[in-house]
Amino acid sequence: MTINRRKFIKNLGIASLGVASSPSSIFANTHSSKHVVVIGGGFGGATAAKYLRLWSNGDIKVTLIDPLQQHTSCVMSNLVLNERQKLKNLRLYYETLKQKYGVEHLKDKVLDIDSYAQKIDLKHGESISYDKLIISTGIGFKKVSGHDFRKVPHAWIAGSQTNILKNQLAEMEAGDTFVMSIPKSPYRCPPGPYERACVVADMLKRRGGGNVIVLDANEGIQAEKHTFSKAFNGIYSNIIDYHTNVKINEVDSNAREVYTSDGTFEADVLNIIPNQKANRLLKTASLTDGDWAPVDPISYESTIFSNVHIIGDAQATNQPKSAHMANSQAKVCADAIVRSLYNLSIYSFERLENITTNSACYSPITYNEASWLTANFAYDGVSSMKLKHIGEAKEWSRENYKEMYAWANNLFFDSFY
Amino acid sequence: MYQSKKVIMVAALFTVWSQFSFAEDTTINRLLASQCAQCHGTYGMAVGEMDGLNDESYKDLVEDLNDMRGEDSLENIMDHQAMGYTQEQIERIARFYDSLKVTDLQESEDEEEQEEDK
Repeated sequence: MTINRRKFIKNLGIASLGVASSPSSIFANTHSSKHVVVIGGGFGGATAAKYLRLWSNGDIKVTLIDPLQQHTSCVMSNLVLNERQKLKNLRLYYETLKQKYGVEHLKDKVLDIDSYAQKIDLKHGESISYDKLIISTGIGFKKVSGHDFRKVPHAWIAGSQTNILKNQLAEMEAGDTFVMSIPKSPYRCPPGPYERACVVADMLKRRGGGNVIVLDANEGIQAEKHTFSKAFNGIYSNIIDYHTNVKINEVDSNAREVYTSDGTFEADVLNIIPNQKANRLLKTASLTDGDWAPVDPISYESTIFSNVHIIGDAQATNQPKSAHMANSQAKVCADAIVRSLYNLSIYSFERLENITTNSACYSPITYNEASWLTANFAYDGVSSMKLKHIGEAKEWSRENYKEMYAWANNLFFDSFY
Repeated sequence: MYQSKKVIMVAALFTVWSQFSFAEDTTINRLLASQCAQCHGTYGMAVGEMDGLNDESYKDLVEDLNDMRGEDSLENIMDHQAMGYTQEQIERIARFYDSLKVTDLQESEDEEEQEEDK
C-alpha cells in the first residue's frame, strides 16, 4: 500500500500540521528507504509503529510483526472478571495502524533474530531485514512446578486466560475461597494484583461473603500502598487475608492447592501469577542480562546489540512495567530512531534534559469506585531514569471510576488508532 | 570609524550566536508534549470526556499547569502530573499545543483542497 505525503497527512485528520506547526517539517524533504521492524503489537509496539510514521511524515517504512490481528488489552481486563467490561471491547485491531498511518502488518511469528546481519527469520514467510529493530514482546513466566495454566489461570496476559478465570469466578458461591499469588517485583502492572484482590473481594462480598487469600512474594504492597492498605484493612478486612514474603513452591492444578513457604492453601478458585522475565525471544537473541533486557533510556537501544531497541515490560530500567509506560517509552524510542535515521544527534543537551516518561493508571476498588496512581520519570543525565514525582489518590470514588474509562479510551486511541 | 566597525561586527556575531544558541528544537517540544497524549489524545485530540489540548493557548496552558503545581494540597491526578515537569518544560509543551491551533496557512490549504474536490 502506497501513501503519498499529502494523503498521509490528510488521513491523520490534522492537515497541514507539518507546515503549520513545523514540528515534523525538518523531515519533510527527506526521501529515504529506511526500514524499521517492530516485533510485538502491544501498547509499546503499536505506539512506536504509529509515531515512527507520524514523525517521519510517512517517510520511514514500518513493518509490525505480530501473529494476531489484534492486541487484547490487559488494561481494564480485571473488569472482565466482574462483568463490568466485555473482553471484545478490549480487542485493539492493527487495521487502523495500516489504514490511517501506513504501518504494514505482517501476521507471522518471529523464529530468530540475527542482530549482526540485521535480519529476522519468520515462521511462515522468508527472512526480513531491518535498519532498526524495535522489540516489544512483553513478559514471559518463570513457571512453577505443577502449574497448568489451563486449570489454574494466571490471567496476566489478557485473552483466553481472562475468560478461564472469569468463568471459574462465576461459579463461586458465598463462603468460597479465592487464593491468588503476587509475583516478586519487578512484574507487569504493579497495582494490578492488589486491584484484582479488591475486585474479587467485592464480588464475594456481594454474594454474601467469602475469603480472598493473597500470597505476596514481596515484603509489602508494591503500588498505591495507602489505597490498598486502607481497602484490605477496611472495607475488605473480613474477606482479604494478606500474607507477605511468600514463596510459591509447587501447585497442584487438579486439586487447586498451592504449597508455599507459608504453608499449604486450598482454594475453590486458584490464581497463580508467576514471577516474570523478558519474553523468550529476547533470551534466544542474547539480548538479556539476567531476567530483563538492558537498554539506554535515551533511545531504548540495547546495550548489547546496536540498532536493536527494546521497549515496554521486557526492558530492564527501573520504570514500572505498564501499558501507559510502554506507550511513553515508545515515543522516546521513536524520536531517537527518527533522529538517528536522518543523521540528527540523539545526544544534544537540549534533548537529554527533556527526556521524560510517565505512567498513570486507575484501579477499580469496588464495583463502581476507583483510585489512581501517577508517576513521572526524567533522565538523570548519566544512564538511567530517575523517579521525579509519584502520587496516588487520597480516596477511591465514583468520579475516579468514570475517569478510568476516559483514561483507558485515550490510551487505546493514542496507541492503536 | 574602526571602533564602530568593531562594534557592528561584535553585534552581528552576537546576533548569530544568540540565534544559534536560543533556536529551539521544536521536535523536543513535540516529544515532551507527546507524553500528554496517553490521556489527552494524539496531538491533543482527546476522545470521550477527557480534555483536549489542541485548542489550548500557550498562556492558558502555562497558567493551568502552574496552578496545578502550586496547589497547597495535591488533590487530583493532574496536580501530581504537573509536578513532574520543570517550568521550561511546561512552556515547551504549551508552545507545542499552541502551535497546533488553526493558522491562516492551514485555512488557505483547506480552501485549496475544497476547490480541488469540486
